[in-house]
Amino acid sequence: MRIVWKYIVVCILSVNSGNIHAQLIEDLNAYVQKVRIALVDEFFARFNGTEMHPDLPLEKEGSRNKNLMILFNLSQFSSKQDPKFKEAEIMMQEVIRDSIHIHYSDSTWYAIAHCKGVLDGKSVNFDIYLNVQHRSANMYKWVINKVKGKIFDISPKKSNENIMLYPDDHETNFLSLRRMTSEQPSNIELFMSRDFNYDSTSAFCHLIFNKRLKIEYVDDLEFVFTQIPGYIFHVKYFERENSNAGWLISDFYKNDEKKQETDENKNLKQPDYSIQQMKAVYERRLKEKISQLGDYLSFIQKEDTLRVKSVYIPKLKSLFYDNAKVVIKDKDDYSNRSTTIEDFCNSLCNKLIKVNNVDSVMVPVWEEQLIDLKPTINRIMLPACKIACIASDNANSNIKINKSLLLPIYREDTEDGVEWLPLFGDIVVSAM
Amino acid sequence: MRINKDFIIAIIALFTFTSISSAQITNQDEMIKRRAAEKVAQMNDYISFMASKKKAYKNRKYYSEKALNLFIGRGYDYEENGINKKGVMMEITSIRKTSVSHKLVRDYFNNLINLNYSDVKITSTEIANIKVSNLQQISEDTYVCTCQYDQAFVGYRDGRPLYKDITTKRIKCYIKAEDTEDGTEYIIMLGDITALQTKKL
Repeated sequence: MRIVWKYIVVCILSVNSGNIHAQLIEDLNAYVQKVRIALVDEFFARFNGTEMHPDLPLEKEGSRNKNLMILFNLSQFSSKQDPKFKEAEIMMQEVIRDSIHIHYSDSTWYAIAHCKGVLDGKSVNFDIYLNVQHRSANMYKWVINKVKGKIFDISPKKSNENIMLYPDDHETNFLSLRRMTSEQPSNIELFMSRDFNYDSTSAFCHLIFNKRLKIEYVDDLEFVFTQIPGYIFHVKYFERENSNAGWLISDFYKNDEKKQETDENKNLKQPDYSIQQMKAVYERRLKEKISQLGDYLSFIQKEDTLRVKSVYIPKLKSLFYDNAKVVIKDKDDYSNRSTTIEDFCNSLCNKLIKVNNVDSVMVPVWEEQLIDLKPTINRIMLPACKIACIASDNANSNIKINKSLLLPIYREDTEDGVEWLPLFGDIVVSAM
Repeated sequence: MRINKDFIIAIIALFTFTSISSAQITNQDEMIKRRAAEKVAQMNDYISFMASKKKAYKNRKYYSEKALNLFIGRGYDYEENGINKKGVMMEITSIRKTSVSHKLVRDYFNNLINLNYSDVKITSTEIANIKVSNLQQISEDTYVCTCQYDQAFVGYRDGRPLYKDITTKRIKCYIKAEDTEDGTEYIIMLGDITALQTKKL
């Protein structure tokens, strides 16, 4: 009896529901609801050809191409003669020819959430870049890869070499640190070590952790796909009452165009140098640095000017890792003594020693893993080896890698791509 | 000869079993997705009833409670992975405002019941046109998916439509697989709702 009563209630609900739908259903365009690409999953299905635009027959010749072309926001083309439309056709022909498919689990697509938030009570805008990350079995999750926005910018307002903590600030218990934060917080970057690389994503985490930054809502969302070789396309949601609506390709370009923009998500970025090239570049930079070491020592010993102290001594120090030691081999009494780089430089300035040769220097050894490092990692410790600097045919023929001694190499982004540069460890010099 | 025949039968049986299992998985996914869409349609029906001034206040309140029961935590605070979460949220857009606001679903329903119009008509996408995303597994026995639908709102005063809008909405659905004596049962609960864009009708 109870079941029958329930059935009657459900029937009444259905009839009532039908009446309301009948009254206003014309406001909800059923055709648009059907044809628009409502969900990103549907975009994937249409792109891969597992779902067709409802107006296109599945088997008819050319349907696949039309199905792909209608994935574009067609209002970006002025006509079929528009060069951009022609380029779109070429791109999609490649998709058909090479049977390119896109999948949710691909690591070659990412999301950019354009966020509205509140930082310390003020409205702010910023972008969050997200990637799909595999968890286990067939489980995935979205993860934040990086953030970008003016609110994370800490570029100093003034660029002045004299804005710094003074060399004797340690004598006043670094009283100047207080002044730094209260009087010129906007210049904080000028007070940092040259090896420091600011990371806005870490800043974002800290602001969120301390409840200073809150995300109000995602104002706009776009997806970037890099699965088509040589092309990148963006997908955004277009809300409109026609058959070209929903998640559509809002923009596309060749890989080398708008390079700056596509480099946003560096996890997806292909290295500009190949693995072999990167290694060769590293070895070239290493040789250059060894050559610089000789030059700086020579300048410092030849000239006794303020310029030596202010320019070449810091340059010489910058070649070395903080803990590096100098072993001085005295030619007169055949004794060896060890000192810090700092004391070595002071001795050079004060003409207490004269270096004849740099015998050897410890350098970090290149490893292939550097290619796969996350772009947020800017410095890494690697096993070291001793390089003989005295010219000799077999000086470096039997290099031994010391795995217990680690030396840093640091990342530098150049116009040509990522480069890794070494810092020297212990150095052996012959002196008089 | 007999061996060969058995072998062939075994191979056919193996292929049949394989294709049935994969078909079953696909059918099961489709069945769950259809049930998620039904749940969303049910919620939309309740929303229509609770907003309609032609129904008594007591009845509108009743439909609001029925609708809340469809949501995770029944619209109130709930715990997920040891984290206390506020009741299910609804993101609200309006053609009169440029910003987006958030309300607890239970507050949103309460507002719908008490709207200052002589009548309100809300209609939503028919069940056949509700789009459902693929199921994504988030734990051993729990899956999620998203349903998209449109909702048209008309507020009347003295029989004349005073305000009309249409909003595209997406709702998170939680699917929990529970083993019973009769096999696996899938319990579907609704979650947060996102409003995409509001257009004046």
